Amino acid sequence: MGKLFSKPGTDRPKRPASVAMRSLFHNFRLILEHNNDALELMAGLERALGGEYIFDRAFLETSVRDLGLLVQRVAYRLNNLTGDRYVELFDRYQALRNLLEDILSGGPDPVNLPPVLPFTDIGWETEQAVGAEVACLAELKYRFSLPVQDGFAVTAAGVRQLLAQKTCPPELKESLQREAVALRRRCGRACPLAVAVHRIDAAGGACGPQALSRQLEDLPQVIRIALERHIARAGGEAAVPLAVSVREAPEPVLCGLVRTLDHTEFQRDALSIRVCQPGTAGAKNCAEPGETTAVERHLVRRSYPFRPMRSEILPKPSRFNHPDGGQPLSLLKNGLLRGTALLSTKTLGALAEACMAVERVLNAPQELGWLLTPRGRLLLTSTRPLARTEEAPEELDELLAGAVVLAHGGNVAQAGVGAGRVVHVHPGDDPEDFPLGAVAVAHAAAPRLSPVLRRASALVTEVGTTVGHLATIAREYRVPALFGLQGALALLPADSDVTVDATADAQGGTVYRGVLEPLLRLRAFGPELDPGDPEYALLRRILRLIQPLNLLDPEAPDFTPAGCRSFHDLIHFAHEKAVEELAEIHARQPELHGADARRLVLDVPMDIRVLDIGEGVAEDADHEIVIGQLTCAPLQAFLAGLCRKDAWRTDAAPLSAGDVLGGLRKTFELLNDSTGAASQNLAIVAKGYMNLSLRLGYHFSVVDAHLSDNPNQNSIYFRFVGGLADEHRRERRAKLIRIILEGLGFQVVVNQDLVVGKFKVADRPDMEAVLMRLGELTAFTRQLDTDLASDQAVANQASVFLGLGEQAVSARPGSVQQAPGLGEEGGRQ
Amino acid sequence: MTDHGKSADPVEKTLGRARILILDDEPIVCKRLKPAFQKAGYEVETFTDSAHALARVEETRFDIVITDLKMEGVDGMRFLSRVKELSPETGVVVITGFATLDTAKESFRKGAFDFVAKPFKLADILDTVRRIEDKQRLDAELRVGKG
Repeated sequence: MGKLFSKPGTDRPKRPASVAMRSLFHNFRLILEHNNDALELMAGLERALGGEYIFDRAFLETSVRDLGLLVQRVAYRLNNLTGDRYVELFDRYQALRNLLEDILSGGPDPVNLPPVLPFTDIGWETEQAVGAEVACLAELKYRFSLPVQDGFAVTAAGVRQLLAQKTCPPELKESLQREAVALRRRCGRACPLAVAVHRIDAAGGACGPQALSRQLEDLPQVIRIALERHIARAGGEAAVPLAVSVREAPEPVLCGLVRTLDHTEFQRDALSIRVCQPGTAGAKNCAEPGETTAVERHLVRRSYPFRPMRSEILPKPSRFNHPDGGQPLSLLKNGLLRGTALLSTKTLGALAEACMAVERVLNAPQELGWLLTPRGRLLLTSTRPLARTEEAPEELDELLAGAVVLAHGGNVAQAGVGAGRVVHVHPGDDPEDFPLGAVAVAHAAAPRLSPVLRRASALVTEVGTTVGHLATIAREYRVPALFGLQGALALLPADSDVTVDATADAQGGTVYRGVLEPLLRLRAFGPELDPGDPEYALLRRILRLIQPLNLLDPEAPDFTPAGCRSFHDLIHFAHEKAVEELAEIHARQPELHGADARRLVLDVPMDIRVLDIGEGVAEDADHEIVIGQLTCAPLQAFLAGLCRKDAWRTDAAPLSAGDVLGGLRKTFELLNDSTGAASQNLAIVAKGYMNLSLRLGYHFSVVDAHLSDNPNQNSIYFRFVGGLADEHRRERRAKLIRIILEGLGFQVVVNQDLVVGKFKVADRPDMEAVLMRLGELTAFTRQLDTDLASDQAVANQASVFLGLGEQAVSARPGSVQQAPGLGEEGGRQ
Repeated sequence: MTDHGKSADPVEKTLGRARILILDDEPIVCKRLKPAFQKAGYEVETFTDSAHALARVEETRFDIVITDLKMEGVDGMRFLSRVKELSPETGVVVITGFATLDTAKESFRKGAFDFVAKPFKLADILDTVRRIEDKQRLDAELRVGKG
């Protein structure tokens, strides 16, 4: 990594500073460096999940070991810095390290999972507890929002508990009843529940129900019987770990099977759908692929908008009552007649969309069971992979040689192939309007595109990086994504059909004209990492203990070493506490009081003290520093915005009695702050680093920024809290800051009136522009919440600041204009 | 163990496509490399067992061999040596998750074309293979010129 600071041994001769102070800063520097190195390693693991690298088990073991060492060093350095105030961090580190070692050694899932898990709490990483089939259905339902049966599972541990005794243990029974009640609350009180047994070690297969439970009281007994039958059929193999799923099973009006790739009956690749009516002659055979009587069949295209290619429809009387309430000659809104097909064109399209989304997620063609309820609700009931093709399509070489390349380049954020109609996504578009299965093309890889990723078959952006927030989401949803493809909006016109090849086998991706089916078929056996690969599940399970950042709010009661649930939590906690230690250095280590803090002379009414920890201030600076003597790039940029005269208002802000009373409590708290931190604005600076703690009016903010020539190492952390106003206005203020920060490209979390924003991975000009805007924002919001009497006022002020509303801007002469470069939203997290 | 599914008969380069043998005892590496090279137009055979791979190179010649180093049975270094004995013109790429300077040096001493540490990007190994092809083409032209 690039050096933000000079090495301790090569520091220029400084003003007199104690050995203790040097040691303090040395520890702080190392915390930052280890923190950055750990984040880079974590990003590497995450990119591996997206298919960017070919890796093996040794890579996972080495990464976990190296990451563990870095986290351990961070904990050590924090304790050096704080006089061993956080020794408990070592315990948490060791506990997490042990869990990771257990996972890597292939042991049972070390996480203490309860015996009954709702689908909401199940993912690939819990596969060892519930089996691949259940994990798959739960993922599809809750991570990808696909129309899959809802349910819950009895884990392998729960099954063992159940089978160990003749009667269901009371605690297990209670858990079953609780989850069953919750499930019925979600899917209907009278809805029957289907019970299915799953082998944990089975690679995949149909999830057919073995029993139905209508009375909740009977559920434990029904589950036991299903298990005993399954074991008896398997020759009494009770040793094989089993799990049970309990799923909603409404009475269907139509049901059938879908094959997402079927080229047996037609010259071209197609998606085939079989439809039958329960209770008719064909119903019992509908699940048999070879059966052709009393069943309707459709072949539709495999890409958006999933146009029908051929349909085989059974003859029906003209007065036939369809399950959807229509008759063959009923007039539809589009002016056409309903027709005789059992499945309406609209439902046919919706079913094809959902099934192709499953294929994309699971990275292989699937055979899916489905049903339609009397209320028109479509539900997928099972999915299993079709036999995998082992060889590349023979015609692929020829096809690719003759294909028209519309665009080439960019960086692969998630590997894969996606095809469909291009839809341009612009700021302000409602993501819910994005057609399922279309190819999204946008200017920037902004966090706001996250909902689109649930619906798109591929995403291409002109700006953005593969280590940003949206890249993480693309990997989470497994949507092929190409970021940084210059001119994509012009090269890929709206409504054109394209195939996005982001298979990570080239430097950049390629977008071809038209839907290239053989290339799409490649994803069935492509070089991507599949959910079915053991390494994928292993990596997901490892990442679960490494990557999530659960400790977002430093003010929360669980912001403690014991509250750290991942390596990311540990290093984030250490970073926060290290910053806090320096920010409050005068109170916590009085012997160092004022050792190096020097007054910064400004033209605006603010008193900022500067603490230089490495080439952040010119050598010739004395006790008072002027801006020109600062060599800290982030602080220079921030001050450029803060000192803009037009960002400061001088008129009195309107205050109500409630504002004053509401703010008094905070005021007293701050006045009684024994740490003394509230009494001073402190900037801890180095050449490429700034940690600025600011009190402005009644707001307290922290800006922590790394700025270098390497975009991957650049980041801004912004925290804002407090304010003299009533609760509603403070919340509106938080909302305003959220809108503004999001407008600048931050990922933002709001908790009451605490706002935390993160901005990562941007090049130097963007970083400087954003820091300048944060300076302006700091001045702009000094007493702003007293102005925020309504939600409309929030919108107006956001428009004023972001320069989006010309009228609003002109209504406030003192407002500032949007800085250049802020439309670039790529890769912020 | 092999997962190439081809006949055991020696076959020559078909339709001008270079033939690649991939040996790695971790199936995930073979599973992911095979389609990438197929898509790039190569004939690919993959092995997760070095004894089977050795038997295969004894009976037929490959243009390019990609092999892991640390494996049960015949390790990658021995495999590399044998391949070069049998077919000096075969380009060998060594891939390993335990890269050290010493193993890299030894690989080159035994005739490896390149030494790639895992994890690696698909694009990078494809690029390495293309460089081998360029070199082989150049060597062939030089041979023709001398002849």
